[in-house]
Amino acid sequence: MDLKALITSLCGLYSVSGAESASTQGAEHILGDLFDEHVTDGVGNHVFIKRCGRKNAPRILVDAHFDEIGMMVSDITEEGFVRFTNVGGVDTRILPGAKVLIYGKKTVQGIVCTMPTRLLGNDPEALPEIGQLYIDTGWSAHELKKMIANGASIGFMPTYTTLLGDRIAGKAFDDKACGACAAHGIGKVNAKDMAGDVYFLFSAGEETSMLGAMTAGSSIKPDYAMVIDVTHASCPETADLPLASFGSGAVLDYAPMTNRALTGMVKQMMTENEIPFTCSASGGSTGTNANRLWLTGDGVPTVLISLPIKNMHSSTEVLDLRDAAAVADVVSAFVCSEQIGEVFAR
Amino acid sequence: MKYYGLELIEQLCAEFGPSGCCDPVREAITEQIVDVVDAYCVDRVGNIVAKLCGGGEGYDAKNPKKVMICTGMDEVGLIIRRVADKGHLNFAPIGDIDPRVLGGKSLLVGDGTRAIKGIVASKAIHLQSAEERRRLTPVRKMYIDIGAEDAEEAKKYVDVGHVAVFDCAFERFGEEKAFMSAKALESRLGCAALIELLRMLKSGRVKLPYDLYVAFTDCSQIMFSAARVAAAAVKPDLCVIVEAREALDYPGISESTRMCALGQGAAVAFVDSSAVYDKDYTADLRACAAAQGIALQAVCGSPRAQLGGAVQQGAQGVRMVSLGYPIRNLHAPVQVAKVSDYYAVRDLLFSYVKEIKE
Repeated sequence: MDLKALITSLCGLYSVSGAESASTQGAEHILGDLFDEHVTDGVGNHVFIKRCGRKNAPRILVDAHFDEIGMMVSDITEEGFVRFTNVGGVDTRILPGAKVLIYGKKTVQGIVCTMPTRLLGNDPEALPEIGQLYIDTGWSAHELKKMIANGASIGFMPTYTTLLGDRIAGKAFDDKACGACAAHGIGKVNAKDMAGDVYFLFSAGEETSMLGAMTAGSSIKPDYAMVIDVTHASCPETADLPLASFGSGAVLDYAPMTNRALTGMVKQMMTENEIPFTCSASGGSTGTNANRLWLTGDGVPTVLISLPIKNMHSSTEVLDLRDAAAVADVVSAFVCSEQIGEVFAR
Repeated sequence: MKYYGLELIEQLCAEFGPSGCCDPVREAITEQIVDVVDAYCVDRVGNIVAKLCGGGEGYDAKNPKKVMICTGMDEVGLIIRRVADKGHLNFAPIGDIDPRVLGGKSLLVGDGTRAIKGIVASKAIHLQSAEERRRLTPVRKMYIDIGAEDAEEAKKYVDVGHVAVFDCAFERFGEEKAFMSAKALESRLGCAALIELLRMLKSGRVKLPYDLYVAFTDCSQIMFSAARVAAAAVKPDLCVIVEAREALDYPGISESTRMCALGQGAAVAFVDSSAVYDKDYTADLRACAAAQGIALQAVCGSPRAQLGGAVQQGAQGVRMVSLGYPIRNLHAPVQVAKVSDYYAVRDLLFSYVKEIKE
């Protein structure tokens, strides 16, 4: 599968935070051939392992989170409409008129109603609160309740659009596109060229609690780790922000909790391998699993790589395949880097 | 290729046709009606006016009465105002689009001859200030992203004045697939009903005691409906306005506010923001529906509309009846209608035109 197909098929899986286990088979189907083992756990993590074939090899962890933002059913009205709340930081501005899927015993298609503002209050500039919105399913309440119940997850319709050049638009690039880059990068290297056993952690719950990275970090006890998450790409009205542009490659992030020596070695590695990248910096929180992973077990030296996307947390996130390819190349080089292995293996 | 029923609706909804840039829709409709009308023309402002000659008992060949049925064929959309240096497009809405429905929606952008994909975007929620998050993002702060690197690449495909429509294909959904969703249902459902009406009259060899004019009009979504010109040219004795009526039948909305509801059949208005409809003809229409057992509902209130007013002004105060169809999410990317309402409108039109009396 090429990188684009890997991205759209993985991102198209349903994995709203809290329901990561629902797509275990889907993930296995897409990624199984690229890895030796697929291990799941109680919090919804998917760990795909590729062995280097040597005994007592270092453990290299590459993390991307499997969960995606979404919604949850909070009520089914007597007319058969669904009320809902958010799971993670959904961009509620894009909800009216959006197509969604409700995942119950059966999957039910719905459309978020576009009620005129005058029905929502007197303020013409106000946005509807998420609690004021309804999903139109076309089913009677009686039949609908046989298929879905309160608490059922709701995800955006997995529709992917190819824009000009190498850009694609769709849901859940945050963060399964990065997972696709990781799997692609690990999949394409020769196992015996790897500096250790590679654990690709497709982690649960990043959007809500970062729990998956914490628990898997403790159980895997990696020698060193790379976290990959999305970052904002530059777009109109962001000229005053230091954001990466599409086509500039991977983003290497400096932050207090990431390992400065490891980050420096990855930077040198990217330069030597002619992988396009830019650097960014975070003062406190990185907003990613890197916040948590480094503090697991006896501590994990961690480097953070980002993929720039636009419209984060909407149903039409946009990425540039050139940047995704750069991220995949970083992963390939990282898991094969003997220099990094020599410095950071226990 | 001829299409029928729901497949006809699907095909018509798929055509590109925002107000003033309707060529693909016009061609599609023309292809469907060319075999079943006695004459048709496309007038100087882009309306299709088709004619079915009357005959038989009660038909005055020297001075025939004229009945006109009028619907809109154009859809809401966006028009490109600027191709920015960074390759994104600034736009203005065509038609009465609530800006709240624009964010994150997929588009087809073009000039009617070819189209590329785009999406409506603004800066991500994380980058909005607390104040911005609470307020409606104004259209001037939204843009269309077609994936272009810069203005030079974008201009190979689009330019100022090009237009965009929502990219949302026809789908049936819900219990027994009784509902349909698509872009442009608000106008194409009416077009489909009139195309099928013409076919039913032709295949039934129905001779009406008047000349029937069926107009598919442009610019019905903006304040300057081209239907005025068609009405002025035909000068009908009676006009039937077939158009979408906004169904606000959402939970918690009282019957007095909801205008009309899906599943309750053809939606007949007595007055709207632009026109008044004739009491006697409307009573005949309702009696016809009752006699035929066709579902019909009265629109409670005065919905916002332009088509009726344009016709009534163009044809100097002609008597009119309204025969509408309920649509949820009017002017939005994913409009919703009920299949049974479509058939009610089509079948009521067929019964009613045979009963129109002077």
